[in-house]
Amino acid sequence: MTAKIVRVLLVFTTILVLGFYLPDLYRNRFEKRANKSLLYYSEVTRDFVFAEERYDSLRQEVRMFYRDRAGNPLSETEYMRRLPFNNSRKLKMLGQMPDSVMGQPLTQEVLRSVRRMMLIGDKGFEYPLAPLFESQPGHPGVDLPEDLFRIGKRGIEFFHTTDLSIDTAKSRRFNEALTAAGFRAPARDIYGIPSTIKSRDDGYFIVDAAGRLFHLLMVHGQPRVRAIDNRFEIRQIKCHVPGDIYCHIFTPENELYVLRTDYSLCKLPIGPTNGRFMLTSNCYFRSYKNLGSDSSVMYVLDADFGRVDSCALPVASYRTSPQADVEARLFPFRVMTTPGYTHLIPVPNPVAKFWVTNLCCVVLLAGLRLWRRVRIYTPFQLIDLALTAVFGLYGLIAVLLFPNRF
Amino acid sequence: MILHLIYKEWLKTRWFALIALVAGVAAVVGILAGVASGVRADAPFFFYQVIVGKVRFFDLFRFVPLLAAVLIGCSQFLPEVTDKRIKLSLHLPMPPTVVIYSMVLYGFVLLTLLVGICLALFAGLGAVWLPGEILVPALKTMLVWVLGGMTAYFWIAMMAFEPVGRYRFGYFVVAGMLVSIFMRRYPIGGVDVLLEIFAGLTLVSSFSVLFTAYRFNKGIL
Repeated sequence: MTAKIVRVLLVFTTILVLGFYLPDLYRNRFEKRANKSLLYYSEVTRDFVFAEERYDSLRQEVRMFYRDRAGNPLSETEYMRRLPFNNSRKLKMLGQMPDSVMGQPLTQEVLRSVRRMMLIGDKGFEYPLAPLFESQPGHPGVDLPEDLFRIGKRGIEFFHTTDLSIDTAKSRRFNEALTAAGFRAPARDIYGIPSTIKSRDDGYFIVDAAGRLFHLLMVHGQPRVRAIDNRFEIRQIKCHVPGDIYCHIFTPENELYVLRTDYSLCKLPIGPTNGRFMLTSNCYFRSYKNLGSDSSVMYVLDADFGRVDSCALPVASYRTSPQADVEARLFPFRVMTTPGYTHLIPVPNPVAKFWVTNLCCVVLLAGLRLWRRVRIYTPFQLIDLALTAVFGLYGLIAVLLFPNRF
Repeated sequence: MILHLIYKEWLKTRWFALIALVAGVAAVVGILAGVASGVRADAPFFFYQVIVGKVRFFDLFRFVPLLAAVLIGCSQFLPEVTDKRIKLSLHLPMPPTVVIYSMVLYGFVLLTLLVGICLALFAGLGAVWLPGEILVPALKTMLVWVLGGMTAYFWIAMMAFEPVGRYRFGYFVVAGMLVSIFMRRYPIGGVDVLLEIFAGLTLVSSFSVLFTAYRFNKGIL
């Protein structure tokens, strides 16, 4: 009896392992790269332009096709002219670079104001240690300090990296500044850019034990702490290199706030999102492209974060491909690992798709058992059939791998 | 009688256990030598690389538990099953399950001891150069590989007792796929949830030998 129960446990383990590997094997073999669909906001026409990859059967190659929002086709040159920030080099070579946009000359400085970055609301692991840079070192860039800081129950502690000894004087000085600003230790999270590759340091944004947000800087070796009046829960903060904003703040509901350098908070007027954005900004507009699995929605905001326009574009993804449909018919679920804090998550497919495969597997298993003159009405043979009925191909392979003969 | 059985296992595994221990200690010493030289050369830059660059300074340990599991498992079970010597043990005046589990438990304890020594060495000496905020996530990430080694050991024991070659091959494929899930390079500190799942899989694997040992004992082909 024990051996039979152990066998069922092993069958379950094998089903999990197969759910991890078989769909990936299938995808590696059959997945085709989806044609690109790109969506941009033109600063020239103040409207969206689209670029789509399509298969040109005449030339037997994949080509890019361009169109405006109304669906009118655009030539490649016209498309580039509408997006001077994206295509400045090519436009200059063609001698078609516009002199000005929205009445402002397109100088090198204006062209260099473009920023592109990913904003992701999901948290990954970060060590609760960071180097606190001198924010005004007297020269461009930052110097890597000799110490690191942590904010535990005893408050902020600076320790030397060479021997891990605590710098009590500096720790006390910074602790007093934090306490005076109303900070409650320990820190829940510390956000910042601990990189040395930046023109200036803007310090760290620290969420205290009560969920309040604080800005901590070191100026000429002295602490500078500022409490920020956040009246919402903070899930994640994405800090930026020096500019007109300090950071983007995600709430647990994936609402997005911006913290300006004057410490004012601004909730962005964008719809419900999944917390994954591609941000492109220049001195005119900021476009937040929410990257979904089936569609991208771009929200265009002006320099003061007022909503200008928005547009949704369905994107061709593997999920909508015929190969994905076959996969859903073959496998009842797939086990995947998540990034960041890693989980093993089973992602089920709709029963309506895979029940035929599962039924075939049950019939095949029952046929095999009968052919070998095995009585299929015993409890553990019925369990095998049930496992195959539920887990389809995985179940069939697993029960055949572990012989049910005792 | 169990003590005699354990002594027999010790005689079979001692040199292989020593090789595994030497390999493990060498890996830990290698990791710590890298840490110490990094701290001595430029401590702020070393910590900058670890904290910002997420440098995995402990990767040398990755296959140590697996190597120890393979060495102990093979040295323990291969001699028993190649010429069916295990049948002698199974005819001792003790329930077969107790005999088999004494052997498996011995191997498990030995493996735990070996890996435990390595991890204790890493944690103890590492604390000289590394703060707890770095050591603990590193240890957790290493623990996934340790569980992978333990799982591999249990599946080796299970495969050893399987009397039919084609089934043994099937178990080998499943074990390979299962253990390779453990052996992936997971993000540092991001394995808290995964540890619980992997501990569950290791626990299930620990019973696996009962299945094939029963088949072996009954002489099912």
